[in-house]
Amino acid sequence: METILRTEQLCKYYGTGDNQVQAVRDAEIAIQKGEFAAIVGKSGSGKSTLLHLLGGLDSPTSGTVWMKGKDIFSLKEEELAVFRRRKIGFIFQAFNLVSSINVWENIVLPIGLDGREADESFVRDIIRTLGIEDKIHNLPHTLSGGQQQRVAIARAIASKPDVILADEPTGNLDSKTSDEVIGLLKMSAQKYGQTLVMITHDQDIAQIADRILVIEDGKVVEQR
Amino acid sequence: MKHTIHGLALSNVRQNRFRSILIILSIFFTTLLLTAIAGFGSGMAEHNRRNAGNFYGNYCGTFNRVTEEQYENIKLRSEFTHVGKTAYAAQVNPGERNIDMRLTFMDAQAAENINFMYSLKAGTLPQKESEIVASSEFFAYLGLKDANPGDHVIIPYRRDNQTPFEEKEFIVSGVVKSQKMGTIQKSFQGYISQEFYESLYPEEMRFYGVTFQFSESVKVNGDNCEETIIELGERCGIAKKNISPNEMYLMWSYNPGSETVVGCVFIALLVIVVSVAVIYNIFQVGMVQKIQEYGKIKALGATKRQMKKLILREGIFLSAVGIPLGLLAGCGVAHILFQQMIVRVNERIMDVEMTNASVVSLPMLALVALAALLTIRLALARPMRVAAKISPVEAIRYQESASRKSGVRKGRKKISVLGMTLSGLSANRTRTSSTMITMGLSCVLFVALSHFAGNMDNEFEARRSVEYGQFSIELDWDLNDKAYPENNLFNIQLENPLGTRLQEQLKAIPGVTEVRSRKLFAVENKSFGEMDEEGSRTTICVLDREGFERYGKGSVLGTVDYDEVSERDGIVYGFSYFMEDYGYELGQDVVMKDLTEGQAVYQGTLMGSLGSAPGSWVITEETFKKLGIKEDVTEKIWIDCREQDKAKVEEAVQELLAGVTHIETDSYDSAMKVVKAGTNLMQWGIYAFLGLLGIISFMNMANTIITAVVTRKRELGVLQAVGMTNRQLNQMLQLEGILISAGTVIISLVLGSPIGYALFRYAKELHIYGINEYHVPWMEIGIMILAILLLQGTLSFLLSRNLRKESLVERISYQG
Repeated sequence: METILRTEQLCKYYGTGDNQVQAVRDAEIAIQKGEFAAIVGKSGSGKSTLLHLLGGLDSPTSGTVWMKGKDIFSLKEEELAVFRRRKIGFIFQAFNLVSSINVWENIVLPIGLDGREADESFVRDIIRTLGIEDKIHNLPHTLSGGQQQRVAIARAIASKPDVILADEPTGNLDSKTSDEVIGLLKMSAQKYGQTLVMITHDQDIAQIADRILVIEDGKVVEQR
Repeated sequence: MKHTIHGLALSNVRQNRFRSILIILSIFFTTLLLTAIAGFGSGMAEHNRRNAGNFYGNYCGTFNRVTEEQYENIKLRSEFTHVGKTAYAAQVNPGERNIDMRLTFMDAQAAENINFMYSLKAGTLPQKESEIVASSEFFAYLGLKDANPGDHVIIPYRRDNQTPFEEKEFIVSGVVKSQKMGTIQKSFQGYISQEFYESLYPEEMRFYGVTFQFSESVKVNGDNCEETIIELGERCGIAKKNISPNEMYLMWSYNPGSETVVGCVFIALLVIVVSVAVIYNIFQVGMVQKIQEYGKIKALGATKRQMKKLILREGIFLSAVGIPLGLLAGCGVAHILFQQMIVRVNERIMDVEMTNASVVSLPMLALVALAALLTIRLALARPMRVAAKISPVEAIRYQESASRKSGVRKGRKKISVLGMTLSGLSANRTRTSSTMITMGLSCVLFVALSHFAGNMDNEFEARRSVEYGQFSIELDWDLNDKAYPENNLFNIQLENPLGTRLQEQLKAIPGVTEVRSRKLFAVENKSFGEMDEEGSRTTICVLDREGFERYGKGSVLGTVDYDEVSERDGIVYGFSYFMEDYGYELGQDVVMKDLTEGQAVYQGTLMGSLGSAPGSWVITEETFKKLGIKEDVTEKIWIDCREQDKAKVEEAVQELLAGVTHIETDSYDSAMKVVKAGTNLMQWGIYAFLGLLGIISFMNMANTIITAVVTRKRELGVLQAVGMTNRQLNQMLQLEGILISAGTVIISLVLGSPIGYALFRYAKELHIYGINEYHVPWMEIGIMILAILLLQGTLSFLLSRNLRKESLVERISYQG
C-alpha cells in the first residue's frame, strides 16, 4: 500500500533549558492511503501538537513531515496554506465553524478559498450521508453540538483532501452523539476513500480505528 | 463593596487596554476641541471688548456741525462725559503733489477719545498758538525732514477756497507715527492748537465734531444705545443727519460678542454630539465583548445601581486621564489659533496696539471640563442601562449573533473572500451600521462645510476689486463735499483725468492688450420729495451686457435682463437689499436731474434691482447713448496685458499717472494676495476643526475594526487552518475596512451634499467671502476619502500583522 503521510525524527520542543518541554520527540510514523489511524494519549502527552505538525499548522523544531512524498515544511507560508486547503481536511474538538455563514457555505469554504467551484453533487451526497440536508441554510449557532460536528466532517471531506486530521472530534459531545459522529466519520471516510488520522484520549473510540498509535511524553509507540 | 466596584472598574480599564486608549484619545480630542473653541470664542469676545476703544475709539458717538453754544450745552449736560471737540481748520498747500493736507484742531479730550495719544511718537499736543503736531511725512512734504519737537516749519494754508494761501511759521510740538492707511489714501493731517483755530474763525463760524461717552446716569444696553444717542443729540439741538453713533464701539462694549458666543456654543454642541456618538459606540462595542463578564458580576450579587456605577467608574477613570490632558493641549491650541488668526490679522489691518486678552480663564476651563464630563455621562447612559438590565443567566450564555432573530441565512453556492467579508459585516449589522453612522456623522459635517470652504473662489473675490485685466484705475471722488467741491465726482469729470486721452496713452503702452472703461456719473434724484437736499444726490452707473450678467447673478429683484431693460430704457436699482428701505418700488417712475441746471437727465421706469452694483442706479449702454451727456463720465479703467509684461506695464502706467490727481490704482495681483490670505485663514480654521473631529470619529472606526478582529481571533485562526492564506486574510480585513469606509463615505455624501448645498446658497445670499459659483468640492471630498482609506488601510494592515505574531495553533485554541 502507498504511504501517504510519513514523519521522520519529528521533534517539537517548547521553551529552553530547564523549562524546556519536549512535546513531540523523534516521532516516526507512517500512514497508509485509505487507513483509519487513531492517536491515543493522555492529556498533555503531546498528541495535539503531533496532529498540528502533521497538518502544517505548527512548525517542528526538527525533523520532517512527508505528505505524498513532499516535505511540507519546505513550503513557504502562503504555499503551505494553499497546500492545507487542498490536501488536508481538519476536524476540531470545538467544531470551529465560521459563525457568520450558513452550513453549506461552511462546507464549501476551503474550496471557495481555493477559488474553485465545489462539486455540487458530491457535496450534496456528503450532506445526505451525514444527515444534515435540511440544515444547509442554518447558521452554526442554531445547530446542536453533534450537528455542528457533522458539518465540520462534511467540510473536511468536501474538498477531497489526501488526509483528514481530526482533533478529539467527540471531545465536546455526549457519549451517544459521540458514537454517532464517530460512526459517521468512519463510514464516510470509507465511502469516499479517505485517509483518516484521529486524536482521542478515549480508548473505546480508538478501538474503531484500523490502527492505534499511542503517544506518551512525546514519544510515539505503535500499539497495533 | 465600594472598593470592589472601584477595583473592578479599574481592572476593566486596564484589561481592555486597546479600548481604554481609544476612549482616552476620544475624550482627549473632545476636550481639546471644546477648550480650543471656548478659549477662542471667549478670547475673541474679551479681546474685542478690551480693544473696542483701541479699534474704534473710546467714544459712543459723534455730533457733527456743533456750534460753540451747543458744545457748551453738551458739556453741561449730565448725560455726557469725556466730551471732546475737533474741527477742520484749514487746508495746506501741498504744492505739486497729489495729496490732501489739512490742519485740524483737536482738544485733549478728543485726542484721548480717538486714541491719538497712542500714536504720538514724541512730544505733546499743541498748546501754544504756533504749535503743531503731525506725522513725519506731513513735515517732510513741507520740506522738514526727520522732524523733531522744537523744529520750525513754514506752512502755507488757507481757510477755504475763497482766500489765498498764506504762510505761517509753526513750531513742532509733537510727531505722530505714520499711519499705514494715511499713506495709501494720500491724506495727511496736522493738528493745531485751539488758540490758532479760534484766531482763524470768529465764534459764529466755528463748527465742531463732538465725541463723547455716556455718564453712569444713562442706562443703555446693546439694543437701545443707538436710539439713546439720537434722542439725546436731538435734545441738544443736533440735526439727526449730524448724529453718528460709533456703532462698532457700542456693539463691542455694550454687547461683547453675543454672536461669537452663540456661534461657539453651536460648534461646541456639534462636537459634543459627535463625541457622545463615538464614545457611546466604543463602549457599546466593548460591552458586547464583556457582557458575559458583567453577567457573572451580576450573578455574584451586584445590584443594578452597582452595575451602573461600575460602568460610570470606568468612564470616570478614563476621563481623569483624558480631560486634563485635553484641557492642557486645548489651551495651547486656543492660544496659537488666537494669536495667528485674530491678533496678528487685526494688528496688520488696524495698525493699533492691542491690549492683550487672555484666552484662558479658570471658570472657562471648569465649564469645559464639565461639558466634557457631561459628554461622557451622556455617552454612557445607554451602556449603563444595558449593564443594569443584564440577566445573569442570559448573559452567561450570551453570544452576539444570538441576538439575531433568524438563524437562517440564504447564503451562496460558492463562498469567496468577498462573501466571507460581507457575511461577517451583515452578521454584526448593528455594530457595522452604528460605526458607519458615527463615522459618517463627522464626515457629513466635513462634506457640508467643504461645500462652503471649498467654494471660496479667490479669483471671484479678487475680481470684486479688479474686475477685468491686471490693473485698475478709478476716480477717487466724493458725492457732495461742500468744503471741497473740487473732490466731487461731478467736478472731477468736468476735466476727467480718465478721459480718452489717458485711455489712448494706456493703449499705446507696449504689452497692453486691452483697455476697458466704465461710466458712472452723479445726478440729482428727484423721485422723492421728502429727502433733503443733500441726500438726493446719487450716482448712475452704465453697465454693458457683460456687466449686467456679472452683477445680475444673485439676489436680484424684478427684471435685470439687459435686452429688456435696454428696450424700455428702464433703470435698475443697485442694491436689492436696501431697495425697500429707501422706499422704492418696482414699476415706479424715476426722474434724475442734472447737477447744474436741474434739467431732467433721465426719466424712466424702475424695472428691477441687482444684488450689489458699482453704482446706486444702473442703466444700459444703449440707454446712456440716448441721454446725450457730453462730458466724459468714465469712472473706472481696466488695463489688461500679457502675464510676462505685467511688471513693465505697471511701471509705464505709474509713470503715466504721476501727477494725476483724484485717482486710485489697484492691481489684480495685490487684490489676489489679500484675498488669498483671508481665504487661507478661514479654510485653515475650518479644516483644522474638521480634521480634529474626524480623528475623534476615527477612534470609533479603529475600535470597531480592532474589536471585530480581537473577538474573531479564533475564527480567523480556523479560517487559516482550513486554508486561508495570509494574503487572503489581509484582503478580508482590508475589505471589511473598505466597506465600512465606503458606507461612511456614502452616508456623508448623501446627507452632506444637500446640507452643504443649502449652506452654500445661504452663504451666497449673505455675500460671504468669495462665495460665487457652485461646484462640487471634489478635491476636498477626494482628500477626505483618501484620508479615511489611508487610516483604515494602515489600521487593517497593522492588525493583520499583529494577528500573525501569534501562531496559528495559539489562535485556534484562543478562548474568547
